[in-house]
Amino acid sequence: MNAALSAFQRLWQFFTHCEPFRHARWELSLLRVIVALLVWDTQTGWVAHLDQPLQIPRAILENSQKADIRYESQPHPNGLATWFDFTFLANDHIEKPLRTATAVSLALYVLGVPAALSLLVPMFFGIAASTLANSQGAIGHTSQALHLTLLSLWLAGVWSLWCRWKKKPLPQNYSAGEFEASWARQGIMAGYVVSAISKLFFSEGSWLTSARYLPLHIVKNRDMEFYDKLSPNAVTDEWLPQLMMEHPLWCIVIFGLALPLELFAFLGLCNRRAAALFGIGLIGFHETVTQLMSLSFIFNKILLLAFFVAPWWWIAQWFQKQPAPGVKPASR
Amino acid sequence: MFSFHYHWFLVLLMGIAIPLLTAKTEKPGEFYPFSNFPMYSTFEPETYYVYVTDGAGKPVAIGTLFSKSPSDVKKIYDRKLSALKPREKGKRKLELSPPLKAEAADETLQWLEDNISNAQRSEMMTLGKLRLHEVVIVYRDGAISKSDVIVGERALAPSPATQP
Repeated sequence: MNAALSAFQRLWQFFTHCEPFRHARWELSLLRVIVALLVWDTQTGWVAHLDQPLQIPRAILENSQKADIRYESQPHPNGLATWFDFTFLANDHIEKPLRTATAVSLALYVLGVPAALSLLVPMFFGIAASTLANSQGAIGHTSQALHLTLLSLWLAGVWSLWCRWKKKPLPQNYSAGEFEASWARQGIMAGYVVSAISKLFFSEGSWLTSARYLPLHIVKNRDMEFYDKLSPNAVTDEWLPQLMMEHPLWCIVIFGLALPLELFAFLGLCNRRAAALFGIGLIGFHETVTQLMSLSFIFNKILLLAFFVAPWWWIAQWFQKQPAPGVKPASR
Repeated sequence: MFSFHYHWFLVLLMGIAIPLLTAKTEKPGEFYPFSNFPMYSTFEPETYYVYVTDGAGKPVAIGTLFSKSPSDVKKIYDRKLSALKPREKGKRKLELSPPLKAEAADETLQWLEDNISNAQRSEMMTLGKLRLHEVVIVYRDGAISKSDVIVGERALAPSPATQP
């Protein structure tokens, strides 16, 4: 019994011992490239070509010409649209220069210009355009995690500039880039924790048992996927929802795992090991939902991969631990 | 152990402060880019979606023609139903009478028409009519069943600007 308790304590320490995330410059540069590409997707939709990689460069370079905001009113104002009229974004004389400025700013961000300066235009344009779209009567959450990350990166960038001006060190002696990545991770995980709280609150604690009806939503989402492009590929495995309805415990177990994963997602902020654990778990959950319900969650998956799983960091660690050729490992 | 102040600030903001401050708005908890992510927080034993057909009854590819997702169309229709609900007190949205549903459907189809791009408008005009279908999905007698009802339609007339 004591041995089991001690093993659990060691495991708990292993995953929850708080350690600052140190990022080499190359990793911070890589994160900047990933963030810039994701933000640019909101203007070009290049991610839709992930299954046709040869078309990606063309989509990245050319699709922004076709992008056009058409909303000339905001009948159901949401967020900042409650106080500000964002319909000026539908004016091509404003929209097109803003999109060009976004492209230039993202390029500067990739080149290392401080986030407080280089992310200002992409953040404003991204959040304003999505706020306008969300003020038409249908609230969409596709880009929410991305824009929350963008906001977090920008706020951290401003805060780090302020600390530099005041000659104050950043928490954990982070560099500006490490501090920005830390706030981005905190922002991403806040979304998951809040989502879990909402599940518990709105279902009055019965989310797990109500998950037995999830197969009806699988049918709904697959049918809606069909009516999006009339693609027959959207309606496959029609037997699966029926089988899941007949065995409700499957749903409760499979989707029930998502609830603690989201509720305790903040533990993924503790160290690289916990980050990888929660990152892989949440990507796995999103992928299950993608396969079953045709909901993409592509921004969430890539953000989790970049900021939490970070496979490149583990590979780099592994290479660093390898002895150089011709050098014998030290004997104990 | 160091704390994650920014994380907990956001959790309080999105989980408590914004839902309280927006409690009386149409969409409590939503303040882009902040949200309390209410979707899939409850699962009812009944759900529904909508789709669009043309005058000949053929389904229309909503994403391709209107550059809108079927989910957005459903959200617009659902919001209209919510707004009309007080006129038939005690009824759930899906139980509202056909005239009220027709009103919601008409406004939804109007929204699609209003927001179509100029490039796609001429293609839409060839469809003759737009019909909105409501499909209710339930689990009944050991099987998943769907009921498909046309809740409204709009004849497509060329606007003065597009006439020769």
